[in-house]
Amino acid sequence: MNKQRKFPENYILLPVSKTRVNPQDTPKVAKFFTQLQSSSEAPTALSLNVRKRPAQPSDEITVTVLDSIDTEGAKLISISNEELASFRFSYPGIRIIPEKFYNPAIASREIIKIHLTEPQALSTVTLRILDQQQQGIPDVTAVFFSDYSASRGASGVTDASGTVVLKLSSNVAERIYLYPGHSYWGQFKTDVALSSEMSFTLEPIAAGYQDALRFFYQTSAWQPLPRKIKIGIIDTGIGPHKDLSVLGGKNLVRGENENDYTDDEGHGTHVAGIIAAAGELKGVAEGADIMSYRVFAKGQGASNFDIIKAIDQAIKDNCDLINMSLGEAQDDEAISSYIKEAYNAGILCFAASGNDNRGPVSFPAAYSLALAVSAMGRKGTFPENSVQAGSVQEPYGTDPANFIADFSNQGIETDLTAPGVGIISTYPGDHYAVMDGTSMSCPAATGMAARILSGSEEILNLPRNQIRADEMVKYLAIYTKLLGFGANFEGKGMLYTNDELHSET
Amino acid sequence: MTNFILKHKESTEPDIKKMTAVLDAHGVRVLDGSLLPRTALLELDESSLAGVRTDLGTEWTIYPEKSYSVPGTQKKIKK
Repeated sequence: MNKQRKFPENYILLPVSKTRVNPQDTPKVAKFFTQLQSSSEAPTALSLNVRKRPAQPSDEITVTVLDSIDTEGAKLISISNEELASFRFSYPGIRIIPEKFYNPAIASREIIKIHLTEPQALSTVTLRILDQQQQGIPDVTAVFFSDYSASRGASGVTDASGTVVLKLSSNVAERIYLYPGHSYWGQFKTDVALSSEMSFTLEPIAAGYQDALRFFYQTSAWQPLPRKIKIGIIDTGIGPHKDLSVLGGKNLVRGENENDYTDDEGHGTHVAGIIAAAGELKGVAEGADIMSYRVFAKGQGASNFDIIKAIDQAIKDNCDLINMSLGEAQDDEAISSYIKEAYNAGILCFAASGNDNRGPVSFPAAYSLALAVSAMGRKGTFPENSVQAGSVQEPYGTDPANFIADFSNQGIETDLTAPGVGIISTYPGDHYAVMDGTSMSCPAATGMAARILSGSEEILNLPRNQIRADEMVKYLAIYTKLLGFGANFEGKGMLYTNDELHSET
Repeated sequence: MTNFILKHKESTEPDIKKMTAVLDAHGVRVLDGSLLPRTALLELDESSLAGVRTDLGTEWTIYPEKSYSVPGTQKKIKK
């Protein structure tokens, strides 16, 4: 289990809009800022509003106000990383920005780059990927590493007969990854002696298989949502798929038909199924209204302008939640300004924390008004030799079968964790596919948020403004459970609807 | 030529007449005006960016257009 020490860090608190709080617009935030102002320079014990039970002394967290710009202006506070997620969920109408220090812009010497020449190929492998009936499977990506740490090796995609030829500089593959497009589990092997002709047989996805999502959320036994919630999915499009019903949407890619918001690539359809599949397979929020906002042209990246158009459309369409399983390393004010507009319209944005192998939390997940979701997995919820076996890495949870996926990013901006390893969901052409990533954990959290919020008519009926978004965040905070990974990996923990979230502890 | 996003940052109504005149004067093309009057996608020569910013004034901000990807988890060989 990850043991994180409670090192205090400094953060700047700002209202959601502009740099000063307006008591008329946001009286609760103004009152809180006044409270912090009066206690300046002294540690302040803040009472949290994140438990269903009566308040306990342990619910209090200590915040030290270090500096302040007037009563209504920015505050510099000190708070421990462990308590930051609880603070964020208790005071959602506030931007929390880490204090940064800038260095003089001194030019550094250019790093000398050593170019390694690729050694000559020693092995030529004709590889066949087969199904259980020994028929070839097309479109399987095969990645053979001769030197994993140097990312050296060969890769290719199987043809219509399930065959691909690879040339490697070694007689042994340190690691082999086989990634099918859909319908099968991928495969992972280590230290494999290479021969001129090799074949691997893939395991099909069995109906009713209990993956990590259904281990924690027993979707097949759940009733559809009691109340309508509208979720905007900003992605590669959705469907068509027999298990999915898309209420509407728009293609925001410049130059494309705005009425074609279907999916050619599979990612958006998989995301949508995790949220709202309602057929042979069930998502966590069956019955939710899903809107497809397509921002990816086929095989290409998405422009931040098209993403802000999608957020703007989701606001106009009165969405309640937005799912963004996408990311980039750098901050982007164009997008953050629109996430802020969504928040001010009473909409919560969920974003994938990124798959950069423990890198910093990606943008827009790292933006303080978005909810950043990391990916966790559970041993025993995927076949032993599947690709997912390669994702098991510490930190492990209080229940040692749970782990944070090796690819999942980490940082203080993490708000929630959710299952994102070996997730079975819908795929275009009425197929099913297994995918991994924070792209999958993000819709698991979005869908669970929809399920939880659908139980509160009072919050959903609030006027569409910042207070509505604040109340949604506070309400969700009640339905979280820490799994023992540490705040940088799980934030406030995993969303659950009741105490049935089954994990050993 | 590079693409940039123009956004009005104040809560007041933007002065579209002035904005249009500035863009015309610098030969800026509006590639996507579907979010006007508050936001637009522009195409302009990077050398004229500073001039456009100055002439538009502080109520407008200009951000570069960026590309986002779906975060994948597949292992890749270094080319």
